[in-house]
Amino acid sequence: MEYILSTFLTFLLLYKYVGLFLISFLAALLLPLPSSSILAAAGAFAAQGYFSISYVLIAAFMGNILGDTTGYFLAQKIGTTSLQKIGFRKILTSSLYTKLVLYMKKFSFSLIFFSRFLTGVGPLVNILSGSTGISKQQFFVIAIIGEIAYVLLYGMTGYFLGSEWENNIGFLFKATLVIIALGATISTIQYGFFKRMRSNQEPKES
Amino acid sequence: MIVVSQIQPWMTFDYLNRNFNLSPDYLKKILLLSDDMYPNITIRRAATLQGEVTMSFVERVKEAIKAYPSVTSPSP
Repeated sequence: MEYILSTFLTFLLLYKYVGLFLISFLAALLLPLPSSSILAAAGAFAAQGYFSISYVLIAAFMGNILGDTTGYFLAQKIGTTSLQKIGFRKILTSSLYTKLVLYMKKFSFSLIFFSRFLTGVGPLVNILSGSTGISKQQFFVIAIIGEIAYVLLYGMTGYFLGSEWENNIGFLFKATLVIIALGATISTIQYGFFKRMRSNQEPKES
Repeated sequence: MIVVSQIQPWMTFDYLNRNFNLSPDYLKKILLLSDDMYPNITIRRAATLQGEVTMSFVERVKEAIKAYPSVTSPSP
């Protein structure tokens, strides 16, 4: 774990904003990279005066939004018809998938917005948004709002934690714990939204 | 800001120069580094190129930085 994190930190120091952009892009697209921790680390380097916090936020935002839209458009282009042809027919015609599509359409704002904060979930939501027919305008606007909030939250967490870091790798563990706590809070808010919207809709349906 | 005791093999010389306000070629001269990539090279990579054990090279880097005139005792 320590070796992986130190490898990413080296990559960040060597390639600076381009490195941050690439990590953000690939993580937003599909790869399981520790982009939140790296964004927090970049914020910490900015607190030390090695990076500019404005450029850190811009590079991370651009990488994330480009990764999000690439995932969305690839899923839209491939589409469910092509997926059915290559062996996913059973999954894509199942009642569970139909429920998932309905859920995506009903709660698209909260799902797209809150999944920006969960790096493992975001790419899947991008793909589902593209394949379930959520309009590109709607997806793009919500993704931009979500990514601005995400980048500000994690980048500034690193910036403020970074001024008092005691140990470089230890800092990343600390930042990761803060990020996990934020992720759990955000998931709780998302679940609250889901429950509230569902209870609002139930009387109308009955 | 990091202090000398926190220096790690993954850090680059560019990062160290900026963090400790060293003159750009100070570490290159004192550690006899010849790599063209300096200062955008990590301590680990430089140790490998010098044929040294990484951790003992890290110690040499720390000593060199401590010996730099403007680097005094570690700040809290």
